[in-house]
Amino acid sequence: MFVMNKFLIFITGSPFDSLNGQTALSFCESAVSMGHCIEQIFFYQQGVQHANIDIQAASGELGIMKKWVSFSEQTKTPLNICVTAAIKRGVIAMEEAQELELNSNLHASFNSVGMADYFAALNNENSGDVNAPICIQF
Amino acid sequence: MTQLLIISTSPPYYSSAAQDALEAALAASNVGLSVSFVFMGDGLYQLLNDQDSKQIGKKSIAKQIKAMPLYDIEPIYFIDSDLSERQISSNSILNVANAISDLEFTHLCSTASCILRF
Repeated sequence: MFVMNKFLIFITGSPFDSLNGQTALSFCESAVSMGHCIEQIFFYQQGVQHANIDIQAASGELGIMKKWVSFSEQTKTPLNICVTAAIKRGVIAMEEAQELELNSNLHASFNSVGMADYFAALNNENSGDVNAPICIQF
Repeated sequence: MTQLLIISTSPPYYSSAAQDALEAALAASNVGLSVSFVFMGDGLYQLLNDQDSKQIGKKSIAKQIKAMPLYDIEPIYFIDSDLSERQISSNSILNVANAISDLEFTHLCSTASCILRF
């Protein structure tokens, strides 16, 4: 019997310095094509750079941001970044930008959230059974 | 209850990883997850009780670790063999953390519903 798994993806590597993001995206695409569900993609540590619109791919290379955005649009998967991790690394959402009088460089398809949002999604009554969401770190 | 296991493998001030692991533990505990924390490999250096981070302008990792039980982040462990491999005396280690064997660590991993490694 097919069991639909729900995944909560946790990404900690930056798009240029690591392959974490690409590996995660490939995993997500495969999982969805097999009928599983990606509940959210959460970016922490250097992973927040995936949402930085100022990062430009080298000529001849494909930027991963466009791929995240199209994956998110097609599957309605939220792309969440940790606000505390992001602000320390120069990825600034609109709200913080206004407060700190800086320019916002967070892509509009990404949500700036507290880390508790990710853990709240993990914490549910189904813990331990087959319906519990599965956390995967890349 | 969801059992989260956080494994912290980096020295305290070499990168942001140690601080990031602690902040993750705090956020998880805040929303009601049951959090266990393991210092592993060079992560053991975070437990040295004689730390002074003022010179480099960082928050003391040791102070934050000592406060972990107040935020319900426990149990806190380190791997016994990591101690002898680094020739660190158990007297130099913060007493909030308890030694476990490799086997006990394996068991901890197998019973966790989610593992994050920093």
